[in-house]
Amino acid sequence: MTADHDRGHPMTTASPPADERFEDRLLDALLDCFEDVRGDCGAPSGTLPAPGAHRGRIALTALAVAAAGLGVALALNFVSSSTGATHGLRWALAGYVGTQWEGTPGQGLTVSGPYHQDLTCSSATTCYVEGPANAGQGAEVEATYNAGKTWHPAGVAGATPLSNVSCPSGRVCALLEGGTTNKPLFVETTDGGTTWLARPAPISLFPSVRDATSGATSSGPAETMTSVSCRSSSTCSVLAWSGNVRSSKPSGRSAASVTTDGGRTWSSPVPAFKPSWELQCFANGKCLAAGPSGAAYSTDDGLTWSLSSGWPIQAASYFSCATAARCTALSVPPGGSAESLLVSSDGGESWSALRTSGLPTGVLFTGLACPTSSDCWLSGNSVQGQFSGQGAVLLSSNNGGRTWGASFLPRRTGIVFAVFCPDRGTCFALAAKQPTGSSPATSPALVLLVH
Amino acid sequence: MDRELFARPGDPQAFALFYRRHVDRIVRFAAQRVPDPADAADVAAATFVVALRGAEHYDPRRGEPEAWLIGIAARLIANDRRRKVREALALAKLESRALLQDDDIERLVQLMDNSALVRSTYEALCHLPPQAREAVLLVGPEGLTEAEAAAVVGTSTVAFRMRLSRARRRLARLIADEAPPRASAAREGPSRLQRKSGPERASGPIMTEVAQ
Repeated sequence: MTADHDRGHPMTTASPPADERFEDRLLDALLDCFEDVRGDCGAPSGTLPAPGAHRGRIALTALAVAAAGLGVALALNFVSSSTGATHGLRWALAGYVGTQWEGTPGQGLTVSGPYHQDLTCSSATTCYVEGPANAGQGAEVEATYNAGKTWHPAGVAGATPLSNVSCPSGRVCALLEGGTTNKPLFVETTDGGTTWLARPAPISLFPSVRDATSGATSSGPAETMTSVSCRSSSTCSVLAWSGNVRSSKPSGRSAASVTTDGGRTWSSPVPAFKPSWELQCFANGKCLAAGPSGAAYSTDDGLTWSLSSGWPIQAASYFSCATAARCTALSVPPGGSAESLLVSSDGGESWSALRTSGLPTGVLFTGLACPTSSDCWLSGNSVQGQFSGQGAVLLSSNNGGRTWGASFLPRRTGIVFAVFCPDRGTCFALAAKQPTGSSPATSPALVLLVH
Repeated sequence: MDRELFARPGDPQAFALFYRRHVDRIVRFAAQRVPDPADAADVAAATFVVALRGAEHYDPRRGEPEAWLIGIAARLIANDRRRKVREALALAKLESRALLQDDDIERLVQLMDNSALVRSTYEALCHLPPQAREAVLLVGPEGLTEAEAAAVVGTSTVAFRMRLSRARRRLARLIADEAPPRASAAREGPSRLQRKSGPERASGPIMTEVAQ
């Protein structure tokens, strides 16, 4: 590929036939993976010029105090608007006919109860919610394929979700569930949730679990928090942690295992450093695991691990990676003092503190989602509000977390459990309505997306 | 007509039309700003990948669709170009370099030979901050006018002109301070380094001073 130095002037050559130019082959290649490029695979790219619209008015919605008791769980949908700098960012109820949590609820969402729902969305129309159901008895995974209008059970019927849901593409999602015999199952769909296939999970991660404090032995996975992350339908990594989940100083141990054949076989579990409960793996084989006691990374899908540097000890661990390199994390020291943000530009190998402004005090954060290197969302609830069923906040940043502002939630939003952005322009949040009067609403409700 | 793409972002036919309308200019734009034909191919491919992903975020007030594309390409080149470009392509699972054949390479090299942006300028650009880099890259051959570029970056034309002027002065100083070219440099011919580029030349457009 050397230049011809003697060329002084452009030579006009006859144009080659249409299908013999690089530009034509490139178009073919782009059309071949059109759906992939449009957002079905991998993490969204953050290189677009940012629209000027990410400047909302800064205001926390004031919510009235009401009786305790939790409202219904609903899905909120946000689609970014490129229409102007004067518009604040707004959330609208999804799958609900009506506004402001009134009107006709959608069908089927029975997940209820507070604070440990997990929300994962594989596309702008498909989301999975994992959490306690039936008034706290039992737990299940539920899916919507129409942005919240209707919900359906997902995963294996009757199984208890043990992990988050991981969706490397619009069609592929996987999670761990506890089957009827309480043996963990690795459950996967490759057709967008229509069918699910269950295989034994690597239960030998913890054949018997010994509590470090009491010395008592129990069998997992009852004491095990698990996380799964798939970078394709065949390659998934599982992280399990055994320890005292309720301790303020989590101890115990974590272990990782990898499958490269869709769950048929698993690698021998390896220790994954400090207890971790959040795992994310990327297309390039990099994995990041983080928890209150530390963070670790792998470059081989989780077969081997190294300690990350710069991760504060005893801090909460929401993290979100916009790309395989750029990650943002929320660090919440014990005792509820001010949160701080951490950023990494090497896929979690090293972290540094980010100076931020605009993060309100007195808010317990429930989730972090950074669909691009510059856009981030934080969901949370005010400390006072969480016990009375209100105090929800959804904060946004468009400069990688340096400054934050509140966005507008539908009126009567009470609690927000989680936020997830399946692509650069779409974010979902899981929230509940404020309770009204003396009777908490019990039936699930969904609302229609309103731009 | 470009609005088709934005009205029907999920329609491959609309995308194909949009692509054919603009790809030549994007390829020429990229070829005249990166030193390697394969890099130019990557930038062109990544520009359309990024555009596809973000079609719903195109803001018509920031300029015509072609200016938007040029802005994407400039930003890909300006901001840690290899990583961002590779990221975009990896996410789309595209290997644009593999699509290049000898005729294409020859064609791209011709464009580069005629380009005002020789290797030394390109390397000096790397020492500018991203906004300044982007400003220099946006205008010039196959690029945008100052008014168009201002709209793309979201600032006033006056402010953009100032940004561009400062960037070019810094660039001129960087090039003037640089060591003489190594013998193995891919390009011969009068390079900017062999011509005195003092402050008196700094106000002119860098790109068009370096020609034959």
